[in-house]
Amino acid sequence: MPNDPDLNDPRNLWQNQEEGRMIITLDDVRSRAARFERRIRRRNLREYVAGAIVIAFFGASLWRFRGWQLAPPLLYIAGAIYVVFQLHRRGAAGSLPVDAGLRASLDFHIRELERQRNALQTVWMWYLVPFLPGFVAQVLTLAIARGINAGLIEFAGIFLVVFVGVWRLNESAARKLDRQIQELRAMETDRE
Amino acid sequence: MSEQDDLYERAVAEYGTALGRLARGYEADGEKRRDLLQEVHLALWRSFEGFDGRCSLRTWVYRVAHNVAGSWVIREKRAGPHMVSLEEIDAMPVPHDADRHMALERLTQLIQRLRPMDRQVILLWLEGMDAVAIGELTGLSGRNVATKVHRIKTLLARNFNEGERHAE
Repeated sequence: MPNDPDLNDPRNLWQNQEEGRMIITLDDVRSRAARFERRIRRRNLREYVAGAIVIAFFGASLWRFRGWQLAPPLLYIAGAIYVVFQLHRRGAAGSLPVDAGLRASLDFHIRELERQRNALQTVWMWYLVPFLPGFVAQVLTLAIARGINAGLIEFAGIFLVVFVGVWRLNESAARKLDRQIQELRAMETDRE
Repeated sequence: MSEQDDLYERAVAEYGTALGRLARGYEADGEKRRDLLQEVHLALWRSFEGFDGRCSLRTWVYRVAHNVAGSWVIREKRAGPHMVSLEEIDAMPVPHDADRHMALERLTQLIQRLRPMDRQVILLWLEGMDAVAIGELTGLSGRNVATKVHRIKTLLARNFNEGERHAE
């Protein structure tokens, strides 16, 4: 049987805990804010560089082709430009919404989960689909130039497996988030 | 000092200790807890740019802090243990601790195993808030808050109140 009265009073036990208080100063906060901004800038830069590499790679191959053979690299370049534009437009993900202090937690979490679910449901549309025209054009170009062979079937197969795999994984993760959203929505009402 | 800085300093002076306890309730790992607390402080400082007095400073601070910490748990949960609801945790066996440190450890572990919304309710209740304030902060319906608070009291009585434990 405990002798300490606080052991019978969890509120008292919790509020009077002797946890070493972590001191966070305004300078700490400002320096963390600056680090956060730098991280976002570096991440954006990495994405732009990756886009530039794809564009440079296909751009460098343009001189080797003529006529309809130019279609695949041009379509890949167009796809990469579109993806980089979308990344730029969608901006700095991960920062806290400005209205975090006005929204009750349930509403806040539902909106955050909805945002993540919508991102999962649409990401393949702007991240993978833009490369599909280039891929189709490349398969057709190779089939016309060299005929349908095992290498071409393998190439097309791998691309399609990755494409469908990413799409299915995203869909499955989105459905999981959807279930969490439904559970939270039930808490908004008097159903228990 | 700007108004934003001034509000932040006031919030830290009044609720800094409570924010430390909140971080303890949301994160078991010491290093990560410091990260979480810094993230809460950063979000709080930023949020004061848009503070217009529509709610009290306390409500604002707790909303921002719990919203950030809840998102943190959702983000980190893949690496952590399986989280349970208040109903599930109530059915688990109760260990016996005779000293204050162990009891606090067990209370903390119990909180850290709960799902974010249940965790928020128990943390707000432990901070001394009533059902109305908990409802305002969480957005849960009145009936839901009442049910959860009742479960919390039963759970904590079973875990920390010897008299009630023996009476069961």
